[in-house]
Amino acid sequence: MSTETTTHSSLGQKDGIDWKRVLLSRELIVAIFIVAASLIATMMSPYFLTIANWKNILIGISIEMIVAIGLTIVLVSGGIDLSVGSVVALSGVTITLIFDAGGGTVLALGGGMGVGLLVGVVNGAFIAYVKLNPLITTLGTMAIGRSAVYIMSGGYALSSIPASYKIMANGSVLAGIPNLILITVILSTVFHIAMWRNVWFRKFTFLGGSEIAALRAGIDVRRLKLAGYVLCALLAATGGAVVVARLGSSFPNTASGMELRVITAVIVGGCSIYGGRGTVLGAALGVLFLGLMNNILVLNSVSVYWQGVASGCVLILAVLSDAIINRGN
Amino acid sequence: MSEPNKILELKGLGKNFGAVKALSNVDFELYENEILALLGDNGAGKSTIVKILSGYYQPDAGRMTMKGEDVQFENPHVARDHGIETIYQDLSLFEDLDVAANVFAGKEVVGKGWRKYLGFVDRETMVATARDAVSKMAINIPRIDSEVSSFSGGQRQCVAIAKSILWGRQIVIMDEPTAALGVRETGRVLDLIRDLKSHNLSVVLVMHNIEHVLQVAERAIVMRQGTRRGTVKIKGANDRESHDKIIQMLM
Repeated sequence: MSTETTTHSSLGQKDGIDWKRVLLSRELIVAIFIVAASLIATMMSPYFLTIANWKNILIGISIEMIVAIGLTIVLVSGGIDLSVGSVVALSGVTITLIFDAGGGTVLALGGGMGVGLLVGVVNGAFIAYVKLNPLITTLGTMAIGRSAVYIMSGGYALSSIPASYKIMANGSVLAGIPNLILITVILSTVFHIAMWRNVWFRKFTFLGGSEIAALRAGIDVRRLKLAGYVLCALLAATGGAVVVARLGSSFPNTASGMELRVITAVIVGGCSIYGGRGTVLGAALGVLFLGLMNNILVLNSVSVYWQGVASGCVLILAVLSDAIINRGN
Repeated sequence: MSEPNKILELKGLGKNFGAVKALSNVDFELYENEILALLGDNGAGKSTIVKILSGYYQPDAGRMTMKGEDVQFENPHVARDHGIETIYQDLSLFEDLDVAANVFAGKEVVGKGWRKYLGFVDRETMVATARDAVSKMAINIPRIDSEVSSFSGGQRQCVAIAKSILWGRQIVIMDEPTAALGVRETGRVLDLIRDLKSHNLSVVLVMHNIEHVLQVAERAIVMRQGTRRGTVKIKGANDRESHDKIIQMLM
């Protein structure tokens, strides 16, 4: 037994970077795909590698990226939230209505975030404390939220947004970079680092990894679950606040179907649908990759109807590669 | 020194679930630095005792003392605060996380200075401590930063035991530690259990396999239908007399 132990000791505790793990990390794989797709697109279209086009791409995906942060938190903690698209629209229409009624920016933003908070608390309370299934619960709040948007707006597009508010998204405070892109990058970076290093945010990974183990580790899992859905809804509401600033109006069908697009991107970016694994960086790269693909299809005059085929194939390929890698272990 | 000290004692323990008497008038004692096996058929009351010791159940009758002082474990946190760690059969590990994250789950070390301000964990310290803990053990972990999902059953036990050595100051309770393991790994895990003893901890093992009990435990309490059937002192792996006594009590 003792000889066995000593031979094992010499094997143990290797140091340095685990290259195999780095190379197989989803973030790197998606990043490589992004670079490869960009190279091919540059060869196919002279318009691809222009500042104007990249601004378009990044502005186009920024709302989805903000929503993706929240969905990463919820997915990593083992849940799912289908109501994010409705929350984006609900926040947007609330903000527009407050402006319409003569309210100021602070009140409007407060109202938008307020409805986000409300939906988040409802989702979280039912899921964490009443123990309802998250898919069903958020399917319900998704339908209710969208309906509320139509009721509140009367089905019309509303566009009483003051210019001072629009400038928040469309202006630029730093080196000509649109504020919208700046906000997205800052939010993504902050949440990525928090999920990676902050004691409280790391608990979401524990919760999604094993709820019972998290409970035994002394984590208040119910409160944490609630917090996850609240954060997700607040980020979606932020997305709504940004979308009305960008478009200058709110439409009743704003962000319709966004939840599925973002969930697709987040999973492509390496988030596990079963919880316990995923990063905000991966989610952001997933959103970027899918946005890039759509852009390439448009630049090459492929009908937008093909975008679903492309993103669906990417999703299945991503999950397939996961399955193959896991079986290899 | 002739009579070893009791670290934990339960007297007249009773627990009912509705009309079902899970435990009735059970005495239980654990000596300092002892490896005790808790044996019994399904429904004998082993896991009820374990859950009372780890603070998940409150007894309906009886009193509990630790080192002579009355204690009450209202919840698992209180049991932990008294230095009692429980390793469940499923080991309660996080599959997608590495050794350090698992060992420090819920008890992370927060960095100093600006890191403390931001609530950032001190990964370097946690990795070093985890490495130190597992390197002294009979089972080796190939990489300290590997995800637990790639580990064998014995390596998982190693992580769980490293955790309890770090956090359990008094007693470690293990629920069926050898149940899902092959022969080689079982031998190693029994070594790990002896490791616990060498760290001055007292160990309670819930086990089915009598051969494993004989190999590692010093004493066995046999339960049957919610009562204590008897106690057997074990003199080693080849103690056939104890083996037969245990079988008799289980029947």
